[in-house]
Order: sequence, then C-alpha cells, then structure tokens
Amino acid sequence: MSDDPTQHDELRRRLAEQGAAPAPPELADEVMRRVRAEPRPRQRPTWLRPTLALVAAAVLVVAALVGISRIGSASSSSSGSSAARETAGPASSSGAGRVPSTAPPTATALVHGVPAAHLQQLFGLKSASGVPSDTLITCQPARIDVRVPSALYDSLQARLRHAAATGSSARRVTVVLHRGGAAVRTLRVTCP
Amino acid sequence: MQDAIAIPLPRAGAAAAYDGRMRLTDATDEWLAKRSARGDADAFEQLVLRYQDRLYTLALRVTLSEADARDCVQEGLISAWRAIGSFRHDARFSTWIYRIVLRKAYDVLDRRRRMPEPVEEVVAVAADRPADERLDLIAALATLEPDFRAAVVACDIIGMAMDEAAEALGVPPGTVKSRLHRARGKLAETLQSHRTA
Repeated sequence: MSDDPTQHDELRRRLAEQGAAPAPPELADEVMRRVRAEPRPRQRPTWLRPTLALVAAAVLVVAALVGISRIGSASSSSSGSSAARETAGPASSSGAGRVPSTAPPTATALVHGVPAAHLQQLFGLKSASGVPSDTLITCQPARIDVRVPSALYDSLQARLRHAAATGSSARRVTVVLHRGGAAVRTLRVTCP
Repeated sequence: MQDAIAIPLPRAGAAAAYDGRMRLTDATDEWLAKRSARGDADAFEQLVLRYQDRLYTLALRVTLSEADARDCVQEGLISAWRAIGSFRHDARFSTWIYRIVLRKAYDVLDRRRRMPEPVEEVVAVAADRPADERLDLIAALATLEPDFRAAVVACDIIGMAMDEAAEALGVPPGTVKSRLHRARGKLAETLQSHRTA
C-alpha cells in the first residue's frame, strides 16, 4: 500500500475532478412524478408527543388511584359486621351489610339472627305465595330462603338487618335473601 | 417546475430566517426541508435538483451499477419525502439524505451477496468504455471494499467534511480517516500496477 502523501493529494484531486457522475436526465422528473402522486407528508406538531405522553401518564395515575381506593373500601367493608354477607354471582363477593348500587340480579344476602316474630311483618306473608306463616317460623334448620323482586331487595335487606340488630325475640332465624331477576314480581319464601 | 415563487428572504447574517421574497433556488437546504415537511413539493423538487448528482455518484460508486444507482436514488428520495416530517431541523439535510441513499446502496450490496449476479453486469460501468485515465481511476475505485469506496466517494469525490462523512456513513470520524488513508494507498497501488502492466 502506498503511503506517499503527494500521491494521495494527487489522487484526491483526480477523484474530485473525475469521480463524479451526473444523474440520468429523467431521474428528477421521475422522482417528482412519484412524489406528487404520493399523499403529502404530515408533519406531526412537536408538542404532540410530550402531550400524549403526559395524558397517558395522567390516565395511568387516575386508574391506579381508582384501583387503590376500591381495594381500600372493599377491605374496610369486609372487616365490618359479619351479620350479613352478600354474594354477587359465583366468582365475587363484597363486604357484609354493604349493598353495591350496581349489584347484579343474582345477588344474595345472608342475614343471621332475624327475630322470627318479625318475619310475617317484614314479608307481608299474607301476600306471599306458597308458604303458610306457621310453616315459615318452624323451618328446620332455622333458615328461610326468600326470593324478592329486584326493586325490594335493598330495602328488605336493610329492614332485616335492622330487625336482627334491634329485635328482642328469643326465636331467631337466618334469612337468605335472593335478588330475583326481571321476571320475579312477588315474594317467594321457601324452607330449605 | 415553478422556480420563482413567493417565499421569504434571508435576513442579513441569518441564513435560515427569512422575511421577504426570494427565489427558491437561493433558499437553504434546511428551509427547503421545512417547507417540504409542510407538503411543499416545489421545495422538495429544489432539494432533488440540488442533490441528485451527488446522490447518484454516491450510489453508483458504491453499487457499481447504473441501474441499481438509479433505483437507490429514486427510492431514497421517495423515502425522504415520506419521512421528511420526522427530519430534525437542527441536523444537516445533506447528511440525512446521503445516509438514506447510502443505506439503500448497502441494501443492494447485501441482496447481491445473498443472490450473486453475473459479474459482467456489475462491472459494466467500467468495462464498456475506452481505457483512458478516468476509467483507470474508476476501475481502481471499483476494486476497493464497499466501506472503503464509500469513504473515498464521500470525502474525495463529493467533498464531505470528515465529521459529515462520519455521520452519513454511521461510523466515528477516526474510522473514516483510517479507511480513507488505506483506500487511497490501495488506489495508488492499483493505478501504479495498471500503468506498469
């Protein structure tokens, strides 16, 4: 390999003079024909990327906060009263005595220690179908299942819990309250 | 091509800032690139006209094929038009466009390596012309490895500065310098042996 600087300079001069090759005459026209046929390039505003990143981060933070608050409220309600337990479907459960406003139609609440004497009054057994009042209070074990119209579910559950907390009757039963679907229009009381 | 349209004039001492009217041919590359990014095809055409010879030289000397060089330049310029919105305006347009076309040229070499073409087609540029001094030089250039050829074309033929060539070739300036030195030495040797043969 030659290292002669003079030779290198001479080569540089010759390369600069002779190395260039003109582009074919139709090249620019062909390129511009294709460029003009293309959709115009859209320049994304420079502020868009950081703004999008900021919005995405904010959404994540809000989602995380909502998630944390839900976990917090679920654990605090599950540590409360165990007098009543509500299950929402087969896969999930929420705290006792708490009735979510969006409870699904299949929700079930278990209320222990309801005074038997209150049952006739609570359920208006005269209008309930299928179960005579004397049978109701002698169910064995001391438990009844009540399927109620969806609209009555929350208020009945509250009244049951209130009766369980304040009633003084010695004879107490466990009430399993089922939220009926849209088709359920009357109370249905059964012994297990 | 519309050559004299209403575009702002440069302020004294500020090449990229304009506040009057001037010809498109007088605008800087970066200003034209900015206009192109807004969809101004006339501005882009000015860049095409300005760079087509240098890009073609770069592609031809690297690929050693007129057809491939034409394709590289065409595809490179179309790619540049599509991507000009992402061009960083603090960078040099020249480096950006050289790099795009050079990448196309290397793609051609890679394809050729996988599917070797008949040698006659590849060296046709040098072989079918009279054996004058110019041809000697071009033929000698064709004997270099592509990376060395690219360094020689960038610095000695197109006239890029060392740092610009380094950026366009995607290697450190020191690498360009050493490739250049070795390539020139090899060229001198080849030309010498050609003369004595």
